[in-house]
Amino acid sequence: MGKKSVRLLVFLAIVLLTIAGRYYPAVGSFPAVASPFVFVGSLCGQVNAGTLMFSAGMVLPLLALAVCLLYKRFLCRYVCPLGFCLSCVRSCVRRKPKSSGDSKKSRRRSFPKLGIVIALTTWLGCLISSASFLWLDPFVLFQSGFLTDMTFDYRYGTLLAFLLFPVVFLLVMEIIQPAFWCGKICPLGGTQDLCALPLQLTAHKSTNNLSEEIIKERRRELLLTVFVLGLPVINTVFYSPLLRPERKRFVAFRPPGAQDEPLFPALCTRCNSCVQHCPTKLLQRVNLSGGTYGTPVAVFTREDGTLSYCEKECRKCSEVCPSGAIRNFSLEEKERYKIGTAVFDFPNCLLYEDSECTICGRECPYEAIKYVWSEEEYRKVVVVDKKICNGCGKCAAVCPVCKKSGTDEKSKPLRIVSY
Amino acid sequence: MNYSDLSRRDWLKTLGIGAVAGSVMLNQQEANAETNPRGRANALAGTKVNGLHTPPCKLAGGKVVRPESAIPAISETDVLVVGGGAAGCAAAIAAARAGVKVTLVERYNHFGGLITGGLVLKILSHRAKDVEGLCARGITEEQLDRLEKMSYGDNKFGYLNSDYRNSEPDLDAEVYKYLLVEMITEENIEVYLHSWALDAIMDGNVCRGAVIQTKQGAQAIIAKQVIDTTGDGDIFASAGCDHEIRIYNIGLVHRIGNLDKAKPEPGAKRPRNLGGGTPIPGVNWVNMAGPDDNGVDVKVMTRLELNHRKQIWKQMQEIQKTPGYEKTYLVETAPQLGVRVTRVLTAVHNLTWEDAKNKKKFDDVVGIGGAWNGEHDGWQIPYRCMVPVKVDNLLTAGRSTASEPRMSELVRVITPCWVTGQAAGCAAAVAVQKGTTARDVPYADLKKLLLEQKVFLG
Repeated sequence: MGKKSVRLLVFLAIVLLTIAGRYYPAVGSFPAVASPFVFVGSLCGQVNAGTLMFSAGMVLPLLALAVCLLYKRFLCRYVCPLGFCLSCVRSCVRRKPKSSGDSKKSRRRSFPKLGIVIALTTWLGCLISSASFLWLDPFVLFQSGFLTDMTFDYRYGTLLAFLLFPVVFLLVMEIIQPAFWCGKICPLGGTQDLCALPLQLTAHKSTNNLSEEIIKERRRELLLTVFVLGLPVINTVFYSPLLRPERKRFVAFRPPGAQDEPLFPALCTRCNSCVQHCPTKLLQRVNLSGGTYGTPVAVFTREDGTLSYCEKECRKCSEVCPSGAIRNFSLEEKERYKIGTAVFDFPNCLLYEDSECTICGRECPYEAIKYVWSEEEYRKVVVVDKKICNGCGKCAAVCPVCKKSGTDEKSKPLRIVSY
Repeated sequence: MNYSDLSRRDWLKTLGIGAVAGSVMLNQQEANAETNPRGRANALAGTKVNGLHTPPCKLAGGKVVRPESAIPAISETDVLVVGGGAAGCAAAIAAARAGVKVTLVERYNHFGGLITGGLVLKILSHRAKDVEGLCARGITEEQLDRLEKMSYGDNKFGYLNSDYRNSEPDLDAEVYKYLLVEMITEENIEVYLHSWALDAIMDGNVCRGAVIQTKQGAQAIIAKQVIDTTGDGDIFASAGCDHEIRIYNIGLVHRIGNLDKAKPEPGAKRPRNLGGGTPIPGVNWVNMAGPDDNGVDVKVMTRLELNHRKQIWKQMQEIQKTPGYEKTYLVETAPQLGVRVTRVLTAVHNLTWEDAKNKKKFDDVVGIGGAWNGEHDGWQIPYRCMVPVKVDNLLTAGRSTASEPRMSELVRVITPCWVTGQAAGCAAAVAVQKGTTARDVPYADLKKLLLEQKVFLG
């Protein structure tokens, strides 16, 4: 069996896995999990969070890393689905090999390997709890449909560039500069290059005398690199909690078991798997610019006014998260991982007018809602036990007042706030 | 006027009355001398009597003891229903329609229990999300239908204030009292009003009737099957069945009137405690949840009754002080304290909230419970949750039907009481006709009878 058929088979397998992942969350995160780039980022994040734990899911990326140590760019050659797509484009566009210039070739060769820089920046970002390029991983890009789900939501012109980014950018790039993405930018490629570094060093020492022209050219490329990477790096630093400690509290709600705030957007690959698998459609993507965009948030009141909640007996987001941004928790552990907490506003409640309603207490899966007699009010008042309350939002979702269409946030008896 | 003469005459008169009273109280040798004064020329003339059927209690060694004595049996019947509330009336009517002799005992002067006596006028739980039409049919639907058909002014829904088919109507307590009288007399049910259930009559493990307390002392009713619809489980508690006592809200409902004459100032805040509408124009009924307490403890009940009355007066005054509401007034407070749930039987099967939520199927389903406002799916009620674990020929229905605390909230409302009542009545009738114990009622026969009575079984 030739190399090409092996690639095709692997590609088909990954496509199947990706499709199957939409229906069976257990395999949903599989391709992204296998990526050593995401794996190292996730490790860095977990070291930062102090939650480093070895699990069976780590076997695959470790294996991939080991193979990459021995075979240069093994994943690019046999596994990477994005690489396969781009190589197809390449073979379609470039009918005959051009022999136009050594200079162009050497220029290409001299262009710095941004992938290595991106990978290192990302891992460093994960270590200091800051936004990063984890989502540039080709497995993540492929699995999330080239981030189509993520980008189509953006309504603002400033983000147009990002909207066009994944598919169009990659295609145009492949046509103008074949293999430029794979060779120079892809962080997974960079990861593999880093792996191959010891192999390269032992193999031969470069004795090339560099001409001044080439040095000049390299400087120019270096400036370009600084420029290309500069903005995101400034952004990264700007959003880093080291400089902006007040950013530690994020205003929206994260999925259950999400890492604490500055770390979460750093770890999140923006693969959108959790949003796709959330059975109650509680998780949606945040439309904020800056370091948090594209990350999932829990939205209790959907745009059409209907209410959503987090199902107690569900851990799908935790199952599918490839990077550990959402901790891999068990159902028992879920009680510890709070989304927020419910607060009660008595005058809005039906009990204020002496109704018999007790639906929130009956439906609360954590039994955190109690009814306590108030002699002053001569009524029963809802009391939320903040220690037990998970902030799942079920109480508000079943509350007849909250459910009524057109009820604004202020006149709701039960609301979820940050705990 | 000779003052001393008059005073002596008065004194003698008093003495004479005292002597007659004393002879009534003290003479126990002719215990059965009570005669009916009816038919005499002068009803006020009175009849000389010698004590009650049963001897008084005695103070012996510092303890009050009840001497052993025979209690006269005033009736022998097939099915005895103790308690004429929602469940009791449904049980009695269902059993009588099946063709057995039924006796119904009620402590007040009317039927309907907390609906009429407690002024809990809202009909809840007769609908469910997954059932087209009503999930509670049979007697429930019949009653609602009859209330709707009773013509009243130009009200489209008769003595209901909305369409029961797709909403939760409020009914009128007085009309419902009348409707129950009509339905119960239609079926030739033997009725004892003003009778408090005192004890179960036990023959080993088998319940053989109940003793009731009347103005003439304790009297017995012997029955083949007994249905405890007292709500508080007075009979099954007396019979020694396992049960729990639940501590839950105890309130007191009142009605306020002249609300149609209220002219609230534009933009002014609506006063609190106006309650919800009734079929009578301008009259609202105002619910009160009340504190959690023991609804069978007479001290608790007395304390709450007094506190609640003060609170209602306070609320009423606040409403009357609100500009535009000066003409409103307190129509009445409920004759009966709003006890939600007290004793709950521990039955062969206890309904759980999980069962209801997961729509568990039972092979002995006797009815479908609904959702308060039809917001969730219906849930099956098995026959087993009315049958005590050990005692035979005794069933319970209504709010004392076996259920876990969370489930009580669904079981205790009016419609499930009607549903469980009808089911218990049918089961008792089948047991009498087949000569089995209530526990061993063949389900096929029970189901046939329930379906004949148009009960919806899912």
